[in-house]
Amino acid sequence: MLQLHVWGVDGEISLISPECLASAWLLSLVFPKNDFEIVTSSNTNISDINKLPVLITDDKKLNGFSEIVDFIDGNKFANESGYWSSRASSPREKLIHSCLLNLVETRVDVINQYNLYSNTKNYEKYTRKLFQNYFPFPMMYNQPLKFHNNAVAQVKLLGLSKNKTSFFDFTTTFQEEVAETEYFNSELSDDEDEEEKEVALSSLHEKQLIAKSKTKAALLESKNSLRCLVLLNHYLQEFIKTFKLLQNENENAFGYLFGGSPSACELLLYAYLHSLSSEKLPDRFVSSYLDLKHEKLVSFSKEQINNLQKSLSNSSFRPPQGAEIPSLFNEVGYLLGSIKY
Amino acid sequence: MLQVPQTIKTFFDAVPVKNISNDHTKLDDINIYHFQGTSNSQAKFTLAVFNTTQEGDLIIPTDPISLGYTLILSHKSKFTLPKENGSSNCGIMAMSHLGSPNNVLPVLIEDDNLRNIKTLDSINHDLIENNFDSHEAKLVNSLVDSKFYDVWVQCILNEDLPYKVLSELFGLDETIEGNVVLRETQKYEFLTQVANWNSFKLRHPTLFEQWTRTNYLKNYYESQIGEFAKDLQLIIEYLNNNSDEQSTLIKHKVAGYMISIDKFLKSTKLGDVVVSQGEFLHQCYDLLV
Repeated sequence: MLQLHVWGVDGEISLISPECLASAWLLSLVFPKNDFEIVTSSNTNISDINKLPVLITDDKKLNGFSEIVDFIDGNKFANESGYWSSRASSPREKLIHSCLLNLVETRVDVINQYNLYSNTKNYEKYTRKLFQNYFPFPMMYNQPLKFHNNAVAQVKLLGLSKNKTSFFDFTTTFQEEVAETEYFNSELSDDEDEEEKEVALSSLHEKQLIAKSKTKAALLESKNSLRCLVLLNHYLQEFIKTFKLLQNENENAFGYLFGGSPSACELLLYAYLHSLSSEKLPDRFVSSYLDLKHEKLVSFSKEQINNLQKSLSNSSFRPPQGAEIPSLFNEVGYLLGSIKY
Repeated sequence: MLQVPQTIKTFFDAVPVKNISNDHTKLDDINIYHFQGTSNSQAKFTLAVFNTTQEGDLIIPTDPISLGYTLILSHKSKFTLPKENGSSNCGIMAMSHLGSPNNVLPVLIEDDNLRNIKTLDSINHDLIENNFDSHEAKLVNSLVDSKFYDVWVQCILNEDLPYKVLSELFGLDETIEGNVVLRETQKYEFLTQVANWNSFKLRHPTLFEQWTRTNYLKNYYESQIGEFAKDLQLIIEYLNNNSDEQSTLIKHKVAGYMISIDKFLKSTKLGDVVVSQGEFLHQCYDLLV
C-alpha cells in the first residue's frame, strides 16, 4: 500500500504545504481509495530532502511533489483517471507543463510564504498557532520561528520586505540586519523612508510616537501586500495566456489547460489558490482581490477544488505511529542514528 | 588633553595613500579580448567573466552563463567571438568574482557616456524585455534561467571537483594548488559563496541543515539530474522545431551550458546527461564562430 506523508493533523492537510495537498489530490484522482493512505505525520525527517510530501511505495521513497508526479505519470492507472498525464502528450505540451510547474514552485510559493508568515495578522493569529497541533511538547516551540525566518528571507526575493533585493541578487539576501551602532543608526541614515528616531519628551509624546510608528508599519505592510497582489496577478496571467495559447480561447475564459482533465501543474496551482484564499485566514486580502480581478479563473478553480476535496474526503487518513511521530525521543534517535526512515 | 603621538598622526595623515579622481576611468585594455568585426551600433561594452579558455583560435568564457551571454552578445551585435587580436571596441574580460557588485559573474560593463554596470539580473531582464514577445519562448527562457542554473550550482556543490577544475572554471588562484591548507580553505570559502548564487540556498534552506547524517543536498541533486535530463530533451525538441530569433537566443543560452559542461564537467553526472545528447552538442559547438 502507498503511504503519503504530509503536513497536517486529524485527517486534514495543512495550508502551510500546498504541495502536500496537491499530492493527496493527485493520488485520490489516480488510485482506488484502498490502494493508498495519507499519514499526517508532519515529520520532515522521513524525507530524504528534508521536505514533505513523501510517498513511500513498496520498493522506494519519492521525495517532493515533482518526484511523486513522475511516479504517477508512469503508472498504469494514470491514463484511465480524471488526471492529465504528461506521459502520452506531445513534447510541446510536456515542455509548457514543466515551465508552468517551475513557475508555481519557485514564484507562487513565495507569495504563499508571504501570506502565511510575513503578513503579521495571518502569522500571529493563524499560522503560528498551527504548529502546536502538529508537534508534541516541546517540539512546537522552535519550528514556527524557523519557518517564519526562512519565509521572511525568501519573500525578500520578490521585493516583499523592507530591505529590497531582487530575485537574482546573490549576496545581500544573506546579510543579517546590521545592529545599530554609534556610526550606523537610523538617525544617520540618509534613506528618506527611514523613520527618524525621536526622544520622547513626555509620556504623551511617547504615546504619539508609538502610534506614529504603528501607522508607518501598517502602511509598509499595505505596500507589500499590494506588491504581492501585483505579482500574483502577473503569475496568474501566465496561466491565462497559456490557456489562450493552447485552447484558442479568449482571455476572459478559463478552463483545463491540456484537454479535459487537470494536469499536475494545475493541481498545484489550485492547491496554492486554496491556501492563499482560505477562509481560515484572518486577513483575506488575496481572496478579495482574486474574486474581483480573476472572476473566471477563481470560479473555475473553486469548482475544481470542491470536487477534489470531495474525492479526498473518501480517502483513508491516519495519524503517525511509532517512529513516524515528530517527538523529541524520535528526533534524538534520528540524530544518533538509532532511528532510520 | 591626550596628545596623539606623531608617528600615529603621520600614519593617519598618509591615508588615503592614493587619491582616486572622480573622472571616467578606462578599463585596462590589456585584459580584454575583443570581439571581431564591426557593429552597426556605437555601443561599447565589456562582459566580465570568471575565466577564459582557448577553443581553436577563439577565446571563450569558461562558465555556462557567461559563455551563453557571450554567444548572444556576439550574435546580436553581428560580431564573431573574441580572438587574441580582436578589432571591435567590445569584448570579454576575466576578473575576480569579488569585483562584482553581488559576488557573481557575469556582469556587463557598458562604457558609453557614463559607465553602467549591469548584474545578471538586469542582463536577463533586458534580454527578455527587448527580444521576447512570444509567451511560450518567455516560459522556456525562464525555465533555462531558473532550473538549469540551479542544477549547475548543485553540480559544483555536490561533485567534489578537483581544485584544478574549479581553478580553470572560475579563475581561482592556481599557484596555491600545492598547498593543502590554502587550497582547501580557498575551496571551502568559494563553495560557500556558490550556494548563494541564483539565491539557491535561500530558496532551499531545508537542504542546508547539516546537523543530521542525511545529505539532503546530494539527494536533491540526484533527483534534479533526472529532471534536467527530461527538460533538456524537451528543450532540444523545441529548438529543433522553431527557428525564429527568440529560439535562436535560447539556443545560444543552452549552448553555453552544453559546451561548458562538456569541456569542464564531463566526469560528473551532469556531464553524463550532456554527453548523451551528442548530436545537439555538436550543433552547439557549431555556434562557436
